[in-house]
Amino acid sequence: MRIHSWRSSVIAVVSALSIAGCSRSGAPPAPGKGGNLKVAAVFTTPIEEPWDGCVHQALLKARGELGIEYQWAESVPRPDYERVVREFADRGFPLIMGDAFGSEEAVRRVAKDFPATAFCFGSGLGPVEPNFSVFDDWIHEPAYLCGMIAGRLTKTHIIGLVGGYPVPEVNRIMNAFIAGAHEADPAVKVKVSFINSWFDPPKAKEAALAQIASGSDLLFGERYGVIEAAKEKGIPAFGNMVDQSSLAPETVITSPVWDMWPTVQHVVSAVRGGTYHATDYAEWSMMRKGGARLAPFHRFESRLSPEVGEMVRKRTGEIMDGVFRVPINEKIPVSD
Amino acid sequence: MRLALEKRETLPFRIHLLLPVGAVGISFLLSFVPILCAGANPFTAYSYIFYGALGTKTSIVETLVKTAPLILTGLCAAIAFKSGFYNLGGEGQFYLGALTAAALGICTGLPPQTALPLIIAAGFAAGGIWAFGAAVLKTKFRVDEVVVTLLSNYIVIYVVSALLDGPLKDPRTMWPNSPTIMTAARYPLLLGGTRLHAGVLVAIIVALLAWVIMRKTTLGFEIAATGANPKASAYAGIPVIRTVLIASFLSGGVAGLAGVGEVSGLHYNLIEKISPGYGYAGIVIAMLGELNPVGVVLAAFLFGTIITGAQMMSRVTGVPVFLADVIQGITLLVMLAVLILTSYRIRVSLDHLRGAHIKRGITTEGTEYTEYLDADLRR
Repeated sequence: MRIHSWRSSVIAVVSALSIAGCSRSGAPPAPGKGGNLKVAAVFTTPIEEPWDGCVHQALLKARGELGIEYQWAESVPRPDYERVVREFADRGFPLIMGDAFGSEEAVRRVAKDFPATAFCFGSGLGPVEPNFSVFDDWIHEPAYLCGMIAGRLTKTHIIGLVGGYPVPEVNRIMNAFIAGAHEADPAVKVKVSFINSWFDPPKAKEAALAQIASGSDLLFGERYGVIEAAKEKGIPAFGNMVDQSSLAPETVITSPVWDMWPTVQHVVSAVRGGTYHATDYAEWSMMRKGGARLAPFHRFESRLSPEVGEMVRKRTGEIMDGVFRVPINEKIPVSD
Repeated sequence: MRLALEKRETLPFRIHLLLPVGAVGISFLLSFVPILCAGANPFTAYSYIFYGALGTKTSIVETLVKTAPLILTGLCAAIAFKSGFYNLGGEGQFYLGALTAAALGICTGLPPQTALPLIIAAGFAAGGIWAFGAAVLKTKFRVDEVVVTLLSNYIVIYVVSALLDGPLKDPRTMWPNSPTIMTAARYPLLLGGTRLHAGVLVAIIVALLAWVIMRKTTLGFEIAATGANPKASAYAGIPVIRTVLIASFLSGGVAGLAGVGEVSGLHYNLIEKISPGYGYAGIVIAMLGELNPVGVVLAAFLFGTIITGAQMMSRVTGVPVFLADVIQGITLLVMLAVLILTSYRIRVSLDHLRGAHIKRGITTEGTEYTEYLDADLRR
């Protein structure tokens, strides 16, 4: 072949550099003992991202405490997701977990092809017999509590919220936060932004800075990056999904925390005991089952007024007793 | 010392067959460095790449399924480059094909018998017209096609994103995905319990067709001649502009087919970021395949293998999956170097050290003169 011109070479090099579609995978786990249950997880983001991180942490804990053998793949691009799940199923992992959202139909097809394998996935749809279970971050209850605190503390009566994508599971957490804020202060106005990414801290920070500029004196960071903006501007903020206090102890009041441990514990013992069947694990991620809670106040323990603490304690008790139900609203929240 | 590139005589065909093989071999050797840096044994890493991609029935199927879009985007680049039209828009044309397949696939009004052929034709046309537009700009207004095709990728990708957040959003999940396409709009499966779909066959058939067109038809000759030397071709009576327009349409159309295959054969819906860079990988594949359709199929299979096997390799050895990208990049660079060295030889000249670059003489009028042949070199 002739080279048409040097230009083709330059073009080809440039395009090689811009080839996207990278993914990263976890280091191989310590080899398990012979009869250990083999569990695989497939994540679309790096495990540093809180949602997938919560599932990952619970599975790591299960490796230590329940003696499972655990392998995972992270940052798997959506188009490759079904293939990687299929690969684990094909290799005989009896339990596979992950985030099915965005590949709902695809993962369900794999489950159909491997009826003897237990699939337990984060999903916005229901379970499918015999083997497809679903779970999700049902942390709207602690988000509501955070909203109540925010409503009490705001002086400008403007609160900023930054979310990932406006999908039902994000919407309901943000709406619960807003509902809580309105309960504490009916005059509260909210600013809502979505960054259209699950993990893009610089973009989230930018959105948060814009909200501060438009008068917000409290932020709810559904995604990573918001707390950094709050820290920079010296205003308090709420984390999400995990206790994010350590990121900025002087900034983070508290966070709604998701704990996958009850779900993982239950599904692992069900698969082991042969009692596994398709289950909707929603309630296992709520406060009454220990799947959701409010993070400790850390340094804010002494800074919040006793009256605020009392308000949160009272509401928490009511939720745990089942006498107060945090409304579930999955509509896209909009700025006032 | 002075280095210069000197044109070589054409090399025999069998050498051309060996070039990509040699380039891949050298690239694999060079990739030892990053693998060693990651603390793994290169031989283990490579064996797991091949085991992960070709070790079981499922993995072979997955490799073939991964190869299909790469063949088509590779052909997209090969056909266009051959005609001298540097179409870097494979990515956007891929998305247009995928968008068309998803948009038509959810129209329940389509008659079931003709749904799939209609989608294939429409997907081809969507990609083709997009590339054709860039070719019109190039031939009529001399707008650089490299810039136009590359940047128009972003237009398409963002339009697709906007549609997935609006009219094409799946009301069931409310995630940025289209609803599932109807059964009649899907490629039939070829092997039960696997994802092997008829789109893989389509890719291979298209490659064979492309080979026939490029090698056996007047159009193929005109495309190659136009790419090699448009001025001489025009002088010889070849309709140069028309040839570039046709080549651009075929090129974009083939990339559109790749998008159709991913929606109709694999995902059954349109997802955001449906292409992990197939359009760009196609350019590398076209270069490695020496712009020959059969070469493209082989190069696509190699890349399909590396990409599919990288996950397994990574889990076993701890080398990040990014290695697949590294190997692709190195392969391209080596291939380009090899191609240059087969067309040209490097001449090392030491003449100037002997003062040969200064020409002295006496004119007919009898005055002495000194001429510096490489004036800039002496500075």
